Amino acid sequence: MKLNKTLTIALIILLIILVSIVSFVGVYTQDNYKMKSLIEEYEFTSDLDGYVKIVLAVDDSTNTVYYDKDGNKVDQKAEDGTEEQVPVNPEENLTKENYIKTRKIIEERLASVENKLANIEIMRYAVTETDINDYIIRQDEEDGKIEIYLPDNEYASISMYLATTPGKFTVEDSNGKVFLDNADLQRVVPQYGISSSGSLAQKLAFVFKDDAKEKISELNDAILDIPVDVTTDSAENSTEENSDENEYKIMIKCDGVELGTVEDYITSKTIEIDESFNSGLNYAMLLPGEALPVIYESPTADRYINSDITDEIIVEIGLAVAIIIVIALVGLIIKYKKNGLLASIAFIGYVALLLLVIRYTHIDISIPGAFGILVNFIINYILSIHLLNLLKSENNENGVKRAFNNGMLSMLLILVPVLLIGITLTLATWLTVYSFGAIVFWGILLMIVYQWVVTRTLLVCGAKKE
Amino acid sequence: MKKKIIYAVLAIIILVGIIIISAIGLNVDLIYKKNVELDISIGKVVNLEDIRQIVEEVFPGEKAIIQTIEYFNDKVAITLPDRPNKDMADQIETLNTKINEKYGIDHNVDEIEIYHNPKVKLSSVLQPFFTPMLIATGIILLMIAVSIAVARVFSAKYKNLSIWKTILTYGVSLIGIEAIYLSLLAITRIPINRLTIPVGLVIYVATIVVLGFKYMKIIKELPTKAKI
Repeated sequence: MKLNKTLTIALIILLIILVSIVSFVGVYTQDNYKMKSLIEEYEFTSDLDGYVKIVLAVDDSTNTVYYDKDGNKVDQKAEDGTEEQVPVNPEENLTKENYIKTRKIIEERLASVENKLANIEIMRYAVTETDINDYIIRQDEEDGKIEIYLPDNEYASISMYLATTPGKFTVEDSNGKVFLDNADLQRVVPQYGISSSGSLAQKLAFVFKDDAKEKISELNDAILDIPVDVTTDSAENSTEENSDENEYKIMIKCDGVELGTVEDYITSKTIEIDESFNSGLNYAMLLPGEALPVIYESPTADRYINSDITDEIIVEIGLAVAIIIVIALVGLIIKYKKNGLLASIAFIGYVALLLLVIRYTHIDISIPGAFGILVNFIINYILSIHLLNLLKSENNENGVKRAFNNGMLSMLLILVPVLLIGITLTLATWLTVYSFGAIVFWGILLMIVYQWVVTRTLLVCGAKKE
Repeated sequence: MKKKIIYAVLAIIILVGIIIISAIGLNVDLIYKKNVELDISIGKVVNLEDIRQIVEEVFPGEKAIIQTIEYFNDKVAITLPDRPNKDMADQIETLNTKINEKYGIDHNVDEIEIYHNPKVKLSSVLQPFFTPMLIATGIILLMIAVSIAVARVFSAKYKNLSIWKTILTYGVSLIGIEAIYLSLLAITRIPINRLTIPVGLVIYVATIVVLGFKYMKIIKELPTKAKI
């Protein structure tokens, strides 16, 4: 029996050494004359990794508006017509309140894009995490200048798009009467639908809110006014030849660009148009939501800035933590002798395992997340001391088991609330909050399981048989 | 008596903190306040320590954040407290000269890009943590209440443990400790930086650990029969 216990302890220690080597040193294989790690790498948020900085200035340019000789607006310069330089942003829009409102709308867009993408059926399996909720926005409220600091990933370009696109949505007729706008939209969804030829086609669905019913009814009345072309389409009767620029039509527009027309009576609260998923997704991310009251130019500066917390600093901090852990474990061994040694070996295994779990669960480590790692180490150390104190008066197997079980149960008073904190924070969308929550969650969960399975076994095997 | 004095002092700290925050707000670190960023293209791999030494010589006693730009580490961003360009023209000239000497280059001072970065709204930094932590606190209090209620079914001794008093102790401790932390930051004018929130989270967890041990002791000392 003593041999079995010794073998068990030796086996566990061997496993801990193996896990520690894998975690602290890594496993490498040769790949095209260089060494490639087989272990997942750590991932960091922008506060530790670096960020893309986008600088947006208020658009102070002008657009040229052409009028014909009768004073009607036209698309191009007309003979005997006039032109006018119209600012992109009218003077009355350039107020501090509008600058602040614009920033808030941009923040809402960035905050909601992950949810919007996750709720679109075609994206459901493509969206795992966007890393978009890891940004800082600075704004000069006097001149409206905005700077956005984002993680360097594919969503940086999405963020630029969301920050610079006004997003003014309307369903309006050719006379300029607006039936529906941003406030009436519930969501925009790219989805498959049936084309006029009966085949499967890519569509863009605009779903309106319930309280837009009256406006949709008004729109339906207007649809009835649309002239119906009874001649059949043929090669000779091309739509271009038949189209009359003054023909009444109802259009779906975004920022003045016509996306499609509404010709059919609306029977539900959805209008569908033909649109490819690529462009449809852009509108799905942009809408619904308010239009930007102030329009910004395309980014004036767009560069990647590395974190001031360099790899060298992270290594130095890691070494400092390792030294503190070693000193703390030496203290455990001195005070608790054999049990202290077994608990210290178990502690090292826990640290190694936790770091592997963080890598394989792809948790992005932020500065709060790094503190979460320390919190886990400290709580595990406190747990070890608590258990060792209870075990002091026990030196046989059954006594150790009893004391260990009681110790773990009493520690649930601490572990469960901290686990709840971890679970709650993992539900947050903000990446740095999530990082802390996820690390604490996995740390505590692993701690509870690891202590019951590994530490308990080591301590029981290290005790004398009754 | 001793406890009452301690509580009184803590209450005063919170009150003074509230007054200071209402009157002048919190002190904010360079990373969050209005600052000026000098982007310097060097063309050679940069040693941040060298740049730091040069910055300390040119801008003595000033806090600076030094970062490399882009992927080749041949460009640096030096962030300093904000001031008009004309007030730092001489210092920028000196900075350019020293960097040219250090790296054996001959760049013109006009090649240094100057950006005046606006401040970050502190609420946008603090708010993402505030709501989830408030929810977490509520869930913990609920868990405590349910745990005591369930424990009473299995053991009469828990009837001696007041649910409301326990919830109150946890609630006041968790919220109070964070209020004291924030107040101390306001009173001592320690700048709010990237470590402020993580330290706050650690303090919160530490409070749970301390309360956990406190209640372990209380439960151990509970009489086995319920008081009538």
